[in-house]
Amino acid sequence: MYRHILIPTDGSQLAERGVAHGLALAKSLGATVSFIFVVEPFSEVSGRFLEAVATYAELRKEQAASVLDGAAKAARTAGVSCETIQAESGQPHQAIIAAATDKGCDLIVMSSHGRSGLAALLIGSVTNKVLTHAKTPVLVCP
Amino acid sequence: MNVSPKMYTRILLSTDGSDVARNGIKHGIALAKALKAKVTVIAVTESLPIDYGSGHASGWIPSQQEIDSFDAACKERAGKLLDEARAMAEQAGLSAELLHVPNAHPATAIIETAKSGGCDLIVMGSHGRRGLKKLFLGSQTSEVLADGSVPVLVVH
Repeated sequence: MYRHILIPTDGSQLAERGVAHGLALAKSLGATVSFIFVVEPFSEVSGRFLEAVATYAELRKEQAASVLDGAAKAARTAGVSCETIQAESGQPHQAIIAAATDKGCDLIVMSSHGRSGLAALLIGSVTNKVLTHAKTPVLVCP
Repeated sequence: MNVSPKMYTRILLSTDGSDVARNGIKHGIALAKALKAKVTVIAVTESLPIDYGSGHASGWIPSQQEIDSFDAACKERAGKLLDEARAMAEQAGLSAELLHVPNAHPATAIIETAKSGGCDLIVMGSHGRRGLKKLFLGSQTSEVLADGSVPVLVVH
């Protein structure tokens, strides 16, 4: 079955459920996992908030590194071999799909929502775009 | 982080006879086999549309005979799809539970069956028989995803 599972996370609580779910599946199938965290660049128009934007970008990158670190630790504990990818893109779904192609992943596991979105109504926008554009199967966990 | 060791025990595969759905069945059977999970295959057929008109003589209300022959045709079609799925499961050495839900809204029936049948994963095609293939997810798949009570594996 699956040999390499891609698991995107944005550090949110829901995304972490996707991480746990994907890890459990990888463990029971003996598959490898790759975790990806996509940092969205903050576009600054006027230049007035350059400093704040730079601080934000730094914080977000630090968060990405610590979230990926946590995921890698969980994988080690579960005995699943893994690698982590930190990407920067204004279109997270494109970075996720590109990583899946790049690494030869045969499944993407992600939660139905991440950080943003109307939680109760529909599925998250990034998940929705991955579902629409990915060629690989996508497992969405609630 | 709590990584549970027990994966899926029963996987629900839905089909509407489309090629994408057939892919989903094939895929779901392989996954069930790898995880030693049980399989339920569901085919939902919708009810006959009844047009009551809008106060004019434009409405169409089917006769009992028309309803009966529609129901018989749905049963036959679902039977064919389920037989095909059974054959695919048998080829993989699995025995699948087969279920036809007539006169129902597909997404609702799929979700209800998953809950009542203790299915812990639903496998669906990204599109069914209708829809703009390249642009959007199928409507039934979207609805099942939006319900959010059971994990859904979407196969293209």
